[in-house]
Amino acid sequence: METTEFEPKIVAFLCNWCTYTGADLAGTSRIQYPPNVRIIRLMCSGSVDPTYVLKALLDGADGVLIGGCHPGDCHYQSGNYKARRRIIALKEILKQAGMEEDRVWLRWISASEGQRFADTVRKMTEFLKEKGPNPMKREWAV
Amino acid sequence: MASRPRIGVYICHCGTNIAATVDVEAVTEFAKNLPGVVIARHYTYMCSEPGQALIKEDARKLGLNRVVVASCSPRMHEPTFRAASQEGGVNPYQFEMANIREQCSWVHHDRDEATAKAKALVVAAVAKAARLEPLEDREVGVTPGAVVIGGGVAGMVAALDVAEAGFPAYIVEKSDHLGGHVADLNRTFPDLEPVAEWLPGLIERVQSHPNITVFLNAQVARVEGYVGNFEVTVSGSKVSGSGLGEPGTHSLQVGAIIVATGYKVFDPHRKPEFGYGLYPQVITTLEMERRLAEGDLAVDGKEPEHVVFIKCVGSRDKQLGNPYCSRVCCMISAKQAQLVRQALPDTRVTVFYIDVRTFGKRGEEFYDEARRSGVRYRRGNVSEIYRRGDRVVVRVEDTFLRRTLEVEADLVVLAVGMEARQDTDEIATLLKLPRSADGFFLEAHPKLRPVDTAMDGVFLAGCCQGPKDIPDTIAQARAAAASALIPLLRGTVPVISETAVVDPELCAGCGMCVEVCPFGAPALDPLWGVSRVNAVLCKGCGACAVTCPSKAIQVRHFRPDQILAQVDVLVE
Amino acid sequence: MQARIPVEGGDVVAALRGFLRDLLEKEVVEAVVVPMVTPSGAVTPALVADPALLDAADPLTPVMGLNAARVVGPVTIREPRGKIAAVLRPCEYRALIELVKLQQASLDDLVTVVVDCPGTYTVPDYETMRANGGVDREALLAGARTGEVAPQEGYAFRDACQMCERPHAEGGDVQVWLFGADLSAGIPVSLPDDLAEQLGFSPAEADGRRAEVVEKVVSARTQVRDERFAEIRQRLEEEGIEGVFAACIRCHNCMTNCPICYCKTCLFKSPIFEHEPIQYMNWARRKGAFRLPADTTLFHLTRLNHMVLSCIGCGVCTDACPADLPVGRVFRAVGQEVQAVFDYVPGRDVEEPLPLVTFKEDEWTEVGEEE
Repeated sequence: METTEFEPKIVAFLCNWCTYTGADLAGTSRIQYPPNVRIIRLMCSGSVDPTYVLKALLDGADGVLIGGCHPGDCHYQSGNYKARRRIIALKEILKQAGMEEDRVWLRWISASEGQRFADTVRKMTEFLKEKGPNPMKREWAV
Repeated sequence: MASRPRIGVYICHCGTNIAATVDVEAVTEFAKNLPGVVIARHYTYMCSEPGQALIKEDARKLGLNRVVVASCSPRMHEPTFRAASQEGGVNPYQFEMANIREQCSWVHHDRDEATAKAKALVVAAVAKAARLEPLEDREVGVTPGAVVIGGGVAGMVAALDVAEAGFPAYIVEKSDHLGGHVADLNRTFPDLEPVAEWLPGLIERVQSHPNITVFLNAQVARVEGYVGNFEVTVSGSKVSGSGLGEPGTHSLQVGAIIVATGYKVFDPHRKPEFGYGLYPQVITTLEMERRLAEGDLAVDGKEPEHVVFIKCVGSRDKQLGNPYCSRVCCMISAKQAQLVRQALPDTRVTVFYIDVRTFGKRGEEFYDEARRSGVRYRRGNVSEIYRRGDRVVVRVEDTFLRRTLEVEADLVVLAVGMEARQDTDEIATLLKLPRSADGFFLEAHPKLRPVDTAMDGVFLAGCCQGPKDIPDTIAQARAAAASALIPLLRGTVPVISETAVVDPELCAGCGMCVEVCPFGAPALDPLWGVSRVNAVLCKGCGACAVTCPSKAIQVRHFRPDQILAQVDVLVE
Repeated sequence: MQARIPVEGGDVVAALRGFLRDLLEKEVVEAVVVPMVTPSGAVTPALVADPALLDAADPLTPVMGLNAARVVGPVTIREPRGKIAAVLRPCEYRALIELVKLQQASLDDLVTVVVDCPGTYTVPDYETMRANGGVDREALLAGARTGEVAPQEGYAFRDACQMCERPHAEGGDVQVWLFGADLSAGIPVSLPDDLAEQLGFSPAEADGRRAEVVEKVVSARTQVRDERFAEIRQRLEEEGIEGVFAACIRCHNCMTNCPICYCKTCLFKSPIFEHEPIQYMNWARRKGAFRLPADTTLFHLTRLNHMVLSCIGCGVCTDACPADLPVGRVFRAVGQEVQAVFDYVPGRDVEEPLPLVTFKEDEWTEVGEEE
């Protein structure tokens, strides 16, 4: 019996100034990457609320990518430093709570790193294919 | 509370940019059935006049109160479509874009996959749009004046335009004189006009202009504020009628900043195989400028029999990390080679090149003139230079004949390229400017916004953005000045409407929003013990909202229910 | 200064009442927050201004229905306010410190009296004990003296107390030391010199066994803690948090009773989590079935995310849970690891910033840079 390959769903929260623009640059540069990522534009990685990430994971997203400016480059001075602590805390909570923290990726990708954005999506897609679907996808009792 | 959504959805073909990869008809049909959607259409170019007219007409006829356009990046056309929505009577902030070009059709090949993704992005945009509230445009006053960082040709020209328009311009120059690298040049291509005939006049006009203040030996130490109201702290010496003042700190209040910090000449020591610094016969084009100015081309007191030019030194060199073309070296080499032929008609002149790129007005003609004057152009990669007696030997891979040849020369001129200055980092940090992979400052858009930056009110002039010749530098400097003059002449600048707002009923007054805000926008009201936001200071970053556990503070347009609605449909 | 509150006729409670009465009569403070026995015999914190009513005060009753930090907040949060003293258990004091960081309480004009805590019972257990002859306080204090603290026969301490590794007074203005103390010779206290002077105390060394006894109690409870942590971690690993909290009825008692959960209205009671009826249908179709009320696991995970760094382990959440879920164990076990990441000890020091409102540029520099 032929089975279709599992196609992971990645929800990406990207900061407007760096990673979202980097994703746009991947586009203007026509750098191809897997279509598994769905981007939500936020102004800053420092405004990515862990509740959004949790909601995505509990709804069944296979991966969540949080993209922000490299340290020192935040458009709002320090949003990415705060994001870093917040996501580290969140990932530790996920780990302790018996959830798969490795489905959550935080990456600094600048406005000029279209290639890095495309590479990140490709690597994350491959990683998640290897890992398999988020078990929450089928769990109704959450 | 937001009104009951009546949403119009518009799918753009962008010619074939989107339509070739995304089935726009299918996306349109799909969008028609989404909750709140009253009409869905697709059109060749939504940003065109007729495209925008569709939005306006539908909005009026159907009483739309939300508009969604699925097309390019909102960084490109959000203002266009917001304006069109407004003209149709829809609040411009009840507009949402789905980025199905940069983030979909341009990055995926498979039509089915791209179409499925486009649909998902449209659902998310519709879900968000349904929850958007109407907002009003906001403006703040502008402090007249501009700071120009860099006192080279770009900086001077930009400052003059700002000053001529009637605004104070402050030039902050790191060295002890104005003029930049051009002051080191002899004659300029393609007219061979001596720099001495125009540069001193330009400097004089700058120095005597009543609206221009020059700081020398000066650096920008700190930049606070935002477009329209920057506070720039400069440490350095102010130039006045009586000369250079004592070094000190100066606080400048301006509405705009023009970055004209220029470039760094490539250091040929980084190509040790060329023997620069080792052999007196090997010099750079800049040193050649001086020799040509002084009329002294002798090596060891003897007229050279053979002068060799080597192009692309430090440019188009991936191993060095400089894959880009420095754009001026071909013309400089053609110029200097001609000048050598003119000065020493018996001297052989050979130019080794990878490609000849003498583009631009009169460029090709100038190259022809160089060849007609007897300059020999040979295609080849120079691999090594070594000494033989009084002369040097240039070892070249002839890329046409695919063989190695060696030529003896008395003088070798390295056409050194341009690099981003080492202090680009400091300026980038001070002004929060992104840089492109080549290290130069990154413009906001390569075509549409070539002098704007990611920072509103900060503009780029000259080689700090990338290598340029003098005419291009001046053109860009004047463009930067004109762009900087827009807020200055208007007297007001729009500020974001998507600011943070507090629900005092929910706020427990914990003050975490106050603590995390880098701009001092929220403050605790001492009487009521709840947070209040000074909207003029708020930049809408959302650090406060994420910190607030009850979401008593939220950023308009990025409210949790709006984001969660997007998450929900995207996971489906 | 270390001193002793004189004990007459072996009545430790009377001695403590006398100490509090002194605070009022010598005008150190205008009122005292202290557990009081109501006319019907229940125990509740009260703000006592009349020294005569302190006869009903019972700071040593081993019952904990709520964390008193929650009631100290409103009476201290802003000016104008009186100068007050608050008698607190160590976990209540730690909660208070967190609330001060969250600007929900103030240490200004407040004298904190932190009392060593050998262990407490839940309100239902305490009521049963009361109906069946009362609490043997003597045995409890004797246990505190030796470090062999045992609950009354047929009862157990509150779950949180059984695994409490910080039962001893740390911080605070006044510390009342029960561990290792021969109370018949007076109750050892540590207090600021000026306060001691005001109250007419003269220095008296504690008998030196406190550290040793505290260590004994702490090590026994740490052992229990680690066993329970291991157990709950295994459950989280195997069942997931959604499994551990599967029986949750979403009464939000854990949140309501948590001293740290300070929101006026919980996010999960706000319009953000009010969904349209059609939305429920969509969700039901998506996974075939949809658990109601919605967002239960999201609620618990978000609450972990909001306050686990500040969880001081009082365990009132567990006591408050009608479904008997191990809320406190989960929060403590998760909190231990998350707090360790930031080297943060909630309640340790009011000057220590909350980990998520601060940052350093040069920390975790490898994070986000991965290929």
